Amino acid sequence: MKLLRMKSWLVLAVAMAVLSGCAAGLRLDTSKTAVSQESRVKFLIIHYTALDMPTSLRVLTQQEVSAHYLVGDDNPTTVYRLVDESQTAYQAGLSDWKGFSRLNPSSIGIEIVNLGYQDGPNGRTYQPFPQYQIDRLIPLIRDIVARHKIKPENILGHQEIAPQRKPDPGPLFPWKQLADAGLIPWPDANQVAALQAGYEQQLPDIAWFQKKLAQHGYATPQTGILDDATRNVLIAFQARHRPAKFDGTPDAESAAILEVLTTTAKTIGKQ
Amino acid sequence: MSFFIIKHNPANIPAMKKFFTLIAMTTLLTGCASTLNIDRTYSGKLQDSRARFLVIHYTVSNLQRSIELLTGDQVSVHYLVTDEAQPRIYGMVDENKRAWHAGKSEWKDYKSLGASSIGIEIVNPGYTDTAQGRVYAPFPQKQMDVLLPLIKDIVARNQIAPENILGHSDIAPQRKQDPGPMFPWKQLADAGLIIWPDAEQVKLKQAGFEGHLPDIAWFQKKLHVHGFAVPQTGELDAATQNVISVFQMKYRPANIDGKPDAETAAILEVLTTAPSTIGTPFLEQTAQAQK
Repeated sequence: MKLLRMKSWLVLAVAMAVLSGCAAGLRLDTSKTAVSQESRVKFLIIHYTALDMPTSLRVLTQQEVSAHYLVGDDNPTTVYRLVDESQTAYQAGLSDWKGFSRLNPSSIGIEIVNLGYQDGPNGRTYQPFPQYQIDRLIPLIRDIVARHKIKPENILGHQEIAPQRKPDPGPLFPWKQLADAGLIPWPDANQVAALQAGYEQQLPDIAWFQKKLAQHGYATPQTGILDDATRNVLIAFQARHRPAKFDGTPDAESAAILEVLTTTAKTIGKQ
Repeated sequence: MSFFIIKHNPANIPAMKKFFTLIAMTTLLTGCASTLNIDRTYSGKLQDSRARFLVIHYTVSNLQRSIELLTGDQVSVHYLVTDEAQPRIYGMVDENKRAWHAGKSEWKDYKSLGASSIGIEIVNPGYTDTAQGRVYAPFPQKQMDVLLPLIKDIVARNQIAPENILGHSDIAPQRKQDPGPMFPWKQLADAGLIIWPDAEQVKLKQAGFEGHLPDIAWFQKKLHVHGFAVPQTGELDAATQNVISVFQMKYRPANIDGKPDAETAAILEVLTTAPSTIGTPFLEQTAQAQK
């Protein structure tokens, strides 16, 4: 009887210690709560793995890279949660967007199983994303974005935050479907056409492109010269916004899209 | 019809209640996970806390005003250490969330550290400019005795590397002075929390530098290696002086004039060349290998 009483007393003590946790040692006063606070997650980064499913899973769980989510290429598509959203995953690497750099601690990463590109005699060919995969991806993005209040303009491809190093998710990734789902801004086609006509007459110079690309968010040299680094940024921009042609050469259509994206209000939801 | 019968049979009411409770609980438990159907079988090996930096501030305002400001719509912080006779720690923002304390900031090529840091504000009036120059308010030992265990706890839970425990001025040297030259960084070093340059080594290097002071470009390069955002112009401009002054506040608070000198050079040299003597820089080595 005595032993039993002691036992229950001990259990109670242990339970209390567990419940109070470190707060007991530190004596934290939680009576004042800040209103100015938000999620640590500011960006959502989309990747392709360039590996098949089993290899993707192995690399992202056992090697020196990781991602929060892995979207499979099976049908129906499996979505794996590999890293809890409260943690940093190692997916962004050296990266920049709008004055933010090294985006790992401030982003959630989604890897999509897709083989990326192959170089053949007829040039580079990219593997398309099957619709069933995208149908699984969009609700996932919607859920993440809603919970962390990620801004539409902060849903990005890996190539956009690391244009000198990365090609993913590539020109076949259907960004338009994300726009149609109300997730990202999309330039108004009529506005683009109107501006393009003007730019056909006179193309803005490289300094203009560099300034606008930086304003949009890309880390871009401001040299006035079409160097390799600037070309890579233009390629990243075109691969997302004008995937029919992404050679990194400045042209009237790219200028028009860039102008619309950097000057008009975000036209989210209105298609 | 059957529902009608159950409803009018008093014996069945508890059973019905149970049934509804079960439905409600099932709905709650599955939540949105059921619609998204996420597979949680596997776990990434490489992951860590989103909090990579710990940033220390002083409030400049008194306790009441500090609380007002930090619960307002402009700024916030994870922890506030008071200046009461028996100092208290307010937990104002959960560590999982971003608080608005860092602002425009940079350390080791990370920019805008709000998302990747935990902030601690200490109630301290900061400085007053007098005829004898700028005078900073000291930090009472009782405050430090509360602060040190807090830092230790945060650092252990989030695996923050010693070189990432910083003052607000370290990450924003062009805008900020806090926590200022009176903040006893040495106590953090004695508690094993931050790296401190070996005094013997500093003396040795200083003797060498007295005869031949390195040029500004050397200082700028070393300050950058240490972690600061600093111009690489080879000139002692105002921005570079601000960075040197902030560096001096931490490691050589007796003279924080922002001018390059042999002692400052010696401390900088020891800090940037000696291997870190505490712990292991968490995941720093894998940072290069990151995708």
